[in-house]
Amino acid sequence: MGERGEEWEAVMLRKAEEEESKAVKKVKLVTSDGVTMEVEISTVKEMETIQAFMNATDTDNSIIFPLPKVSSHILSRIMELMSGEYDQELVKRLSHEELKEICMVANYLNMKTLLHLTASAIANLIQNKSVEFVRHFFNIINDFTPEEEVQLRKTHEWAFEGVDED
Amino acid sequence: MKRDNSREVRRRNRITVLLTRDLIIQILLRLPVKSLARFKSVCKSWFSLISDPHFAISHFELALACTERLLFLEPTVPEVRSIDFNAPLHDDSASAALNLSPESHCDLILGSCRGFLLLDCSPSLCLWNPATGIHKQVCHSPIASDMDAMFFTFLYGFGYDPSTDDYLVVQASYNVDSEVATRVEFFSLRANAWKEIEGIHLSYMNCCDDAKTGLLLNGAIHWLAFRCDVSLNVIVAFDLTERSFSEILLPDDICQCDFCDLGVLGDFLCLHVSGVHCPAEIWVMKEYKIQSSWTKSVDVSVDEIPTKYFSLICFTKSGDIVGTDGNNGLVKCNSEGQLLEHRSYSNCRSHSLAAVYTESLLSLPYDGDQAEED
Repeated sequence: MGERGEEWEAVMLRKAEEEESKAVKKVKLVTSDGVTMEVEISTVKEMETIQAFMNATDTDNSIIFPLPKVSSHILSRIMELMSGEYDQELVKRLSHEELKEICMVANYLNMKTLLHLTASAIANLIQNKSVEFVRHFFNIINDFTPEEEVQLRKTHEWAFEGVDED
Repeated sequence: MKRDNSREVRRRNRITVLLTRDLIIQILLRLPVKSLARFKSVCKSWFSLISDPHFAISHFELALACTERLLFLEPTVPEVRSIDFNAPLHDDSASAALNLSPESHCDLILGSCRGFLLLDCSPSLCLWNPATGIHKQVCHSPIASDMDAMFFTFLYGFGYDPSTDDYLVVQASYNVDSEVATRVEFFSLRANAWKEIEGIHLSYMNCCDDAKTGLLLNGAIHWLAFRCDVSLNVIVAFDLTERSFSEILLPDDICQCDFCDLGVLGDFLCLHVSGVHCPAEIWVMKEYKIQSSWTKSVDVSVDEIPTKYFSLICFTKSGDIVGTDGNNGLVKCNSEGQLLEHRSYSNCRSHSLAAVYTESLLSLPYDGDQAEED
């Protein structure tokens, strides 16, 4: 009897473990536009901000994580990039706005690979561009006086050669 | 005016993403120096960010956008050329004209380290960062100015000691009138003074007629020199942190060094014999300081080069070999030693000087009061 009892206990324990592991396999992310996206736990592993939260709370089966700064559009783009193993070709297809937004979200969620990828893509994009293009791209207002700007250009004249058309 | 600006920002805010300063830094760290020099004009905050010495150090050390260029100059001409040697030689946009500031001429290029070139612009030496224009004059060592002593300086070098965050100009000389005892001196940029290294008991001489300029690898400067006591050509290495010397043996098959010089291929030391009417030879030391690891890597044919001469300068990212034609031209060969391109930059028959430098935004220690930007 004692032997059977132990067996039974072992079975129940295993069952409970299975259930537990099944339960935390998915995480629900709620985007800024109110869409709930269920994602694999493996996906969340790369999102260090969420991972840290999960480690800290150390709970149960229903983890819901609100992302008030991330739209469903951008989150699905990020999922595409992750499942495509961060293919450069996928990055090239993003619009400038998408690229900037994904870069911001990667920083916010502390996704190192995605941050490196998008920051490098933006650097590549602007590398040979004019100062005017860059101001427009980043939405920056020129706070130099015309005289200061002329002087700066003169000092770094060589850097203004061979710039691409905007 | 200011109010208009902030209203403008708010209006634009609604339609487009504004990246935080942290992210802007992440992006700027991935740009080459040329783009950064241009983007100093974007706005005041970008100007101060890009000019920040800490940013310059991160940018150099992370090396996410590391670019190497070739400084190519004719000794008497004030205008010098900075060439992106990874691009085709005939691509005009890969070559930029720079003014050799503040000097009007350069007799020799004595070293290259962290974006700075050490030039001999007699009557003084000059440290110059071609990418930023930062420069600083360094006086010659006391013995170089002492005409009675009859010292011949046969080794020059320039390097960085990370343990003290200091740049060193190193030179070795011997007295032509007396016993062959090598005298080694270095200039510390932090101390702003020359100092002799005493008690080294070395007896090296020049292994060819010209003075040699050292080559940086693994925190040490390397030169070819002739060791008098055993009558042997060797590679002398000076460790910039330890301030001590060691030797590396040449391949057994190289007996004389008249047309030899050192180079760097990736992380490997290499030795090349200039080709004069015969192929140039390139040897690679596959394991640092292990003599048996010297391997003859490639012969560069000079048959198709108009001057019938080739002397190695560097390797491109893709493994092509770049060298001079002995006059004012550059030659590019593939890794098999076959000619890809030859370009002459001037009709003058003089011998151009060349040195590879890494583009950097770095400034020199104690820059504020000693060096100046253009």
